[in-house]
Amino acid sequence: MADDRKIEGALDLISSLPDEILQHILSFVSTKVAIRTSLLSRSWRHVWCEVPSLSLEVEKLTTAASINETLTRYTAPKTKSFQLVIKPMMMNIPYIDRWIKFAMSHSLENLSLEFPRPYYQEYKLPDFFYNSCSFKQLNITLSSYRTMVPKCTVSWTSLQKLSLSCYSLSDESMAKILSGCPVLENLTLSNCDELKLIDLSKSLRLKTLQVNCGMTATQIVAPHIHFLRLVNPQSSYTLVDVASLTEAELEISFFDSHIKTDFPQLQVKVLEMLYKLQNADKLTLGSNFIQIISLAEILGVPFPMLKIKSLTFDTKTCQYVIPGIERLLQNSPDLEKLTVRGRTRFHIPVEIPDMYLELQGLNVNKWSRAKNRASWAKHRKDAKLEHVASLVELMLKNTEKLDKMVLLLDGRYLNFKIEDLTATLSHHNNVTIVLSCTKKK
Amino acid sequence: MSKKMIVLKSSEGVSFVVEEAVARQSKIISFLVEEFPDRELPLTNMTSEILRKTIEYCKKHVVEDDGGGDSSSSSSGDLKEWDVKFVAEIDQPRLMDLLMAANYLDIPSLLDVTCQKVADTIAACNDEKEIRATFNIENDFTEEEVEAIRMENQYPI
Repeated sequence: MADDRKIEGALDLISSLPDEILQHILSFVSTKVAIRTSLLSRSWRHVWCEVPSLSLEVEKLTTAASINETLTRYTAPKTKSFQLVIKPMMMNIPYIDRWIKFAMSHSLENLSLEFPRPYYQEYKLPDFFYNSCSFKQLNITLSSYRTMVPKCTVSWTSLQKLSLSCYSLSDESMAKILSGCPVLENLTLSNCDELKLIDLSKSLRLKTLQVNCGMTATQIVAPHIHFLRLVNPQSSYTLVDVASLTEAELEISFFDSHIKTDFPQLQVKVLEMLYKLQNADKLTLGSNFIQIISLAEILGVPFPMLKIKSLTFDTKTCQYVIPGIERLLQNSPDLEKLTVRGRTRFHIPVEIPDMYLELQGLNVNKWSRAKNRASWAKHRKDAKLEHVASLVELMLKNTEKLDKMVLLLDGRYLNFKIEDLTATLSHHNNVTIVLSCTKKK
Repeated sequence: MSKKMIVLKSSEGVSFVVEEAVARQSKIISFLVEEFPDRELPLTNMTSEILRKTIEYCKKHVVEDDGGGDSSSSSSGDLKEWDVKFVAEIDQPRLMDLLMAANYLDIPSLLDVTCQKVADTIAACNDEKEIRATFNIENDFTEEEVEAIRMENQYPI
């Protein structure tokens, strides 16, 4: 019985692949889709049973029951990765612990547990979950209270990469977890709103830290990390110790409710961070961060010197990023590569820094005129050729050792043809300028 | 300092001169280069077209030792974007050949990229009939057998 749409004479190339390759292919799809392939033909009948990966999604109690039955037919000797997504809200799904245990008994390396909605409140991850010598990567997303509170000691002796998104994780639990991960290299924390202290001073192998948490003031003690990424955090971080840092990506968030109090505080924060980054050689800054630096520059605040060799401005350009960009360049005499990712949107509405400066008796246009700067469009929708060209001139003027500049522009926001800019810049022989532009509207 | 080059020969006998660092992403070639230095390496089961594609991938993914290479997450993001484009442009028969080449030469990342593309194609199909049609798989089950397999799985597939 052939399918109607089967192309006459076309070859079935996939079925002749060895089972191990088919199983590798099926390790990239959900278990539901993998099982579906058992309907294709006789040769596909049992291929899914040995796929070294399980990805299960529970939507209601009936799927929970059927998962038990499915697992009895799963015969892979090793389950490299196991993903479990529990969707029902507030419902107590039986067997969750049994599935985790099943997967852990198969030399499990990568475990992903996702409870995207508030789950049954009494549920706690079982003690055996905290004890595995095979875990290499763990990815835990919890949106319920107190699901992850290790009562026993934690022992994840091979764990290299840990990603936690659990908003009730306490400092005590975090410390317990970290003490059980001697070879951890990479840590990502999201939505861990109760953490007040991230102390990585005993995690000697931890090189990469990414934080995307909010709402509390968090102290970061991480003397061994090399790479730090703060993704639009809503809280205020204090970098207590980041002495080994060589690369950082920083952005701060901003609430427009308290102009008078927020800006001075943010300014202090931003400067504090810059002082802690004095040994870093690669830095990426977001638009809020740069605008706060700009305001500080207009107010005449002194800045630290930096040893940065590669600097990325992750922002579109407008009048409120220019003073900050200029200051950062002047204070980075070793700069070799400069990138402007002019595709990231703004978060701070332009009226707010205007108002803040007005309170101090200052004005950005006056500042620009006093410094002989081209004046920029107030609203950032339309950048003219002279704006971008003058930005490039400004950047070239303020960098001595630069050998490469990369400009990634957003075509929807430019009022000119990119070729015209290329023509304008063609006379700079010492610096390689790479221009890339997304499509125009 | 000039970089060390090696010669790979396709099934049609066409020679490709490749930087050793580029070719060494294949664990097999890495082994062969050490066993038989300064010799052409014949890859009799690979056509010139597939070998060219494989080399293109390896050139893009070679990690430069001079410290000038970008290791940041943004550039690894760009590389992923490149990978997606790279496999998007290949038709199914060639994708299968490239997948087998990655398997034969033992280039894990290229094997993953090609398998991922096939997996995405399978996952995009609404049911088993669509998968059969997409890959020209002949159904050798009877209706009853298909129903029996369907019944066996309570987990909705």
